[in-house]
Amino acid sequence: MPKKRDFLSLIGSKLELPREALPGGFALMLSGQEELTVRGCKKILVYERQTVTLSLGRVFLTVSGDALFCSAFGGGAVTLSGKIDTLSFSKGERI
Amino acid sequence: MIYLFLTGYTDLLIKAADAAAFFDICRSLGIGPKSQKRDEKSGDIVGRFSQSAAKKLLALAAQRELAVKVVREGGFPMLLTRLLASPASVAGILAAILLFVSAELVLWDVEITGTETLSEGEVEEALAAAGLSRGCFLPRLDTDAVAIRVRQADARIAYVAINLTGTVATVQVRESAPRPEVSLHTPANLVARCDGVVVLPLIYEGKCVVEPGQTVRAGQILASGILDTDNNGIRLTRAAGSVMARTEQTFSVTVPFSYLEKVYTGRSWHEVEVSFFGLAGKVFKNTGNMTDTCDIIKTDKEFVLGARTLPCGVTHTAYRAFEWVTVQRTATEALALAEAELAAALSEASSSRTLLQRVTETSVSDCGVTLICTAVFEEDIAIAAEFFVEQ
Repeated sequence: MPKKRDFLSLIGSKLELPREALPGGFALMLSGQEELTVRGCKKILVYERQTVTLSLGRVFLTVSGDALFCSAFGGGAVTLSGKIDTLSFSKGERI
Repeated sequence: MIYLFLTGYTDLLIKAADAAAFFDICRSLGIGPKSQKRDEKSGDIVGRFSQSAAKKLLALAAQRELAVKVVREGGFPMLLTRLLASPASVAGILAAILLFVSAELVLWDVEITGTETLSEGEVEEALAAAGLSRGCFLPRLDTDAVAIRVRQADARIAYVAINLTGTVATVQVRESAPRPEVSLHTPANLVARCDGVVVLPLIYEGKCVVEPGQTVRAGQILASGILDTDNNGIRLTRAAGSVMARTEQTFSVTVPFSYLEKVYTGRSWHEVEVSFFGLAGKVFKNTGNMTDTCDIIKTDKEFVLGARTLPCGVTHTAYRAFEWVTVQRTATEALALAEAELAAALSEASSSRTLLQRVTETSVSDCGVTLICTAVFEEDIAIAAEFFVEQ
């Protein structure tokens, strides 16, 4: 049985707005395997060489790889650089 | 990176345990590190931030009790602070600025063009006497007045133009034209330059008034420029030709047995002077106990940068002490020296005439050796003597 879409997603689709433009939304842009830009990051939870975990609101994004570091912050976006192996989402507490 | 150097930077050490919290602060402020380096063992991170960003981050990190500390500060502001903390550096910087500014106010070089017979040194001396030389103060320099003074002071210079291009003066010189030669149409007699016995008169213009074998005195007319024509009266001409004659000249050379010879004692003193834009100052000297009898050897060295002579240099003056020592010659040495001197004198005298015969008398006394040589030459003794007729 398909999951029910949340209310905001429904509004967004009706108004033809991208989900990230609405509250609670986020967007990821992966450039190759070396650079990931995350828009909508609320907090940096873990910052280690091989793991960086970001809070995107109700969702946690864990980036695994090697030599990971945040190279830029600005405009509400966080840019991660390094060798990116996996991206995984997990449910998190709202911050 | 150049921007970061100019504005100044701060390296912060962030402990691995506080990295996430610290970088979250960075995220919230929108401030990212310019570079990061992670320690492999401890996981600590050293990030480079601008000084202003580092101040904000440190303040917030202190509020949240994060282990962040400054490991290094650098950039132009820090460099300036360290420089200004040292009085010698401040003095050096001020002196450099003063030198830079004042360098534009003095004349660095003088370029001279247009000289043909005059040397550049002679022209430079004339310019210096008129007030233009390397190191002179440009605002007070009146190039027109200098040019006028140079023209008036030296008759060999007909025209001088001085142009200033920045700190270099270009001097154009035109030398005076030589005096015109005597007109070949001026009437003249040929007269004897010295006493002699005429051997062969070769006159191709004028009237020859001497014969071979005739003894003539200095100044005696050999060929006349006044011709008495049968039909047209007296005609004036410029006598020309040559009159070969035998002449006699006496040479005397005396070489004493004892003479004074200069012997260096080995003692020497030195002075070193540095000149800079016309100002000179001694930097070294050890001439405290100098004697009066010494040779002075002065060496000037100007610094050259490429093809440009700089207005600074070093003058080294060496003083070498000597004393006069009486030296004795043997008779043989004196005679050999006298003969050598006589030969040199005869060689010089024979450069423009032919030596026919010489008779040398040697005289030896207690004082030295004397050679008296009577030489007979054959030479052209005719010279032109112009005369003017009032009309």
